[in-house]
Amino acid sequence: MTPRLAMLAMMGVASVASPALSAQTVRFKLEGVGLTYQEIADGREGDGGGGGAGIELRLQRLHLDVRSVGVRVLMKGDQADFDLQQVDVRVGYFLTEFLALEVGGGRRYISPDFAAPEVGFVRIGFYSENHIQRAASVWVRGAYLPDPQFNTGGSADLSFEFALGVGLGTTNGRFRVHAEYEFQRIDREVNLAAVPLQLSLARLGIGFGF
Amino acid sequence: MSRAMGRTILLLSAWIGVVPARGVAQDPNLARARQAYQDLDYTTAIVAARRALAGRITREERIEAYELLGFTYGALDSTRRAVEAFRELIFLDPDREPDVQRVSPRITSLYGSALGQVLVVRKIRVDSTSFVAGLGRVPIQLEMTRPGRVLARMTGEGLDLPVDSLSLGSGSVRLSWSGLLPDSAPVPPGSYQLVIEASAGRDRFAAVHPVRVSHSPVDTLPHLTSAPGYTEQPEMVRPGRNWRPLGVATLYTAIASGASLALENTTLGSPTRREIGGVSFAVILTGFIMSLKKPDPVPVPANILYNQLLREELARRNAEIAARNAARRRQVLLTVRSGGTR
Repeated sequence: MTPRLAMLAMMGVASVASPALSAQTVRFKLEGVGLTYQEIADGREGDGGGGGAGIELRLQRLHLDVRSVGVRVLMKGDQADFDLQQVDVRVGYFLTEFLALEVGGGRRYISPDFAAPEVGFVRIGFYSENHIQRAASVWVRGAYLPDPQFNTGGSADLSFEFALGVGLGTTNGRFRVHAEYEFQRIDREVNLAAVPLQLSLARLGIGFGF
Repeated sequence: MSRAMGRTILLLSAWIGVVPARGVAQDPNLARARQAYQDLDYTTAIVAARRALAGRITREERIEAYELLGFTYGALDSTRRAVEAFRELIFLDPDREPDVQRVSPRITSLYGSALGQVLVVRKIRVDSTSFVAGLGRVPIQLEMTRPGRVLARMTGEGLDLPVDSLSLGSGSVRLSWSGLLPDSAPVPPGSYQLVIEASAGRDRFAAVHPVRVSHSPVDTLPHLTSAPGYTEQPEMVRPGRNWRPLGVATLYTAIASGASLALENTTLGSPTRREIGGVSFAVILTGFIMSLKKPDPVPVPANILYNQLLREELARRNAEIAARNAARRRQVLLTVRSGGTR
């Protein structure tokens, strides 16, 4: 599934589901994204900017978050630039007011092919959100990524991600700005050679909820 | 009592105008009797009064004629005839009696003697009152001059209703009336006659007293909007300003950024860390601003529970009031007044 198809599917799900969830939170997000991408060894890195979109649903204890970003990564030196697109899906279940268990998956697409490894992964982690005021909240999340898959082969024994975010909006939840940082490390190995991947991503966006 | 003393008494009575004060006589014989009495010509007064009584005179004139006779015979020391005249007077007007402040004690004594010889019902008093039909009674007071049986009835348009009875009443007698028909329905509004019948041996007497009955709806109770002495407590209270938002923001920033920095892959070199720096700054700044802002109101469970109990109590009381009002709307407030008109 391409990122564009994923986004369309995501919007479709939201449009069908929203009437039933009218009493709950449904929020659409548009984001500007900044990214630092590192791989293989010191010096092989690049950064770039782009955009993203997402949808967030909250139904009682359940939490669904679907994101998609598209970034043009400009590699340092004579390395080839590429487009990075990634779709992330997370489903959480709140065990307490502040803490949720989260599972999901993600898929990273690279264009042109083989400019960087494409990755597919599942995630198992936690999500904690704290409403520091009625109009503001902060959150962290962390997840272990077991057995990520690469289009160029290889495996990773240690893969994880962390995120930190803050949201500030109107008290009725209809409008909200947010900033979020994501860090992902995948210790990929190919034929016992370490070819790690590391991603730092910052989002700044607005959300419209109802 | 000597004749001279009697004259003195009557002179005094005439001087203070006791006898002429009783109405204005139209009958010439009665007028002549009154004038003769004032002139102390008792023989003429008696003859003229007797003639007046033999003729066709009104009840008021008859009452005055017997009163003149009673006073005149009393002045002449004719006790028996004075008592006879007063007896007739009492039958005609039981409530009329000499003014003890103005009339000589001898006259009042003769009047009292006559009163003790007859059976009459006097001074009937029906206290004006209002009560819910079936929940009250109308007090009736009267005086009986001799011991006897008393029976009270209420008569009116198509109504002849026993009110109360007393087998042996004497002196001041108290009766009461429920204001209900035999089927327990309230008496219809209107004018009625309270008939008091007294009997003792062969003596019988009946007196009539007008009574007016009116209906009105029973007042209903207003519903309660608050319990007296109890006020609702605020369910949301804004706590004092605190640094919790900054603390939480700092904690979350420390967890996420600390983990990220600690677990960076060092073989990839040092990244710029502008992403985590920018977002961490935004998180802490937000926490700081939210700490300066007044905290949001928070619910107070004890007050919520208190208000809930208060509302339940109010609802319970209002339900009781509604039930009572429903019963009151089916009731009638009877107002009974003495007299035939409002």
